[in-house]
Amino acid sequence: MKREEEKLRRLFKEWGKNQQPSISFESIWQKTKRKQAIQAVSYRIALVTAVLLAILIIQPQQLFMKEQINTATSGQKEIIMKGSVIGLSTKIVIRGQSNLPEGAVIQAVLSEDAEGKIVVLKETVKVDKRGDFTFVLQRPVIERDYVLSVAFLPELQPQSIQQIYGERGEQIEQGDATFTYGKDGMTYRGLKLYDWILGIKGTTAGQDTFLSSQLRDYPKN
Amino acid sequence: MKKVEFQLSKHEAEQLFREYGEYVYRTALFLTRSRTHADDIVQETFVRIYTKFHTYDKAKPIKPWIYKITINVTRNYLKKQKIYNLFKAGKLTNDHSYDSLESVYLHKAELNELWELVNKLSQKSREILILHYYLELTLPEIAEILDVPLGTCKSRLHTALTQLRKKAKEEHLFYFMEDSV
Repeated sequence: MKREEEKLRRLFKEWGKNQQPSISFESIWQKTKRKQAIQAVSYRIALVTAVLLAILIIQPQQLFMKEQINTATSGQKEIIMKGSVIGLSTKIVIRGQSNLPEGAVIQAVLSEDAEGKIVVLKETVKVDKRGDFTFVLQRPVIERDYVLSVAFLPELQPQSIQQIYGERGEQIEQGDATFTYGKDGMTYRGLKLYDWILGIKGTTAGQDTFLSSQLRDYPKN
Repeated sequence: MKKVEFQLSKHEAEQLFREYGEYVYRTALFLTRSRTHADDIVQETFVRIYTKFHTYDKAKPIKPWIYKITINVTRNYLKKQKIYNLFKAGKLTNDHSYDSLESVYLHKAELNELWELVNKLSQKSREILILHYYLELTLPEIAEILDVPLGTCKSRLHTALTQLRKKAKEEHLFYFMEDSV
């Protein structure tokens, strides 16, 4: 065994005596430097790419989160409501359209003064599945003028509607028709439209007007 | 990602090349049987040594680390060559000059015959023979270089020697046979 090993050692020794690489150290050194430079550039590119990717991934997430926070903190929902008023001889018909869900309660109030302090009639109806509602009010005194208000009031709403707009209307987006009011020491936000109900005097033609967010000036004949 | 480091000075790098360059070349030459390939392997091996020098454990001898890189580079090179030749529908390229007796400087007939036998062995057998008998690495060192258990390493050496004995007997190469001196 030892002799075999000696022979193999001798064989390799003899064979290797004059085997020399033809490549020089300088060329290897230059290649090493080039490779090192490429690696350094690749490292920087990878670093920049990683940073860019991180920005691209993180930023939209942050924007999405911001949006979510805004929605959560504001959670505002716009209520659109409009309507027309038709004055008949003994009745007043109010036809309204809204984006409110079915079951939302709308209140109509007839009062003798613009501030709504002297209330003579108060009625509520529910919005149908199309968001429409209709009041048919009996004129208390046919010849008399009244102030009509048609309102969405949060405290009158069933629970399913309060869940959407808040128990005190805190989720209602502020707009031209929104208003705040106090009740039992709490502040509420609702939505109210106004119109004049013109009394029938002599041969006065039937009223056909629209509800508006502000009570208009009293019409002159 | 690890930052690229380069800790060797040019002088140190040159010293390493002078000390181990020929061994690396001869190992590659023996395994690839091609001077061109051997030169390529020397270049790739030393580029790797220089660029990966920061990964070398300074507490350990450098020789096995260098030869481990040599073996790995050679294996990768041979794999690439095999794929390349597959598409070329040819065999692994050999330098004709490598096989000629003059070029390998084995003037003694018996050594030439033994050399031919060694070259007929499998890749694994040739790897272990050159690592052990030429580079004079111990079996535990070879096991580490080849990433195999020590037992596998011993077994490979045993197989290589058995194959060589068998071939020597078949070829009537009495020079290598145990009972002839």
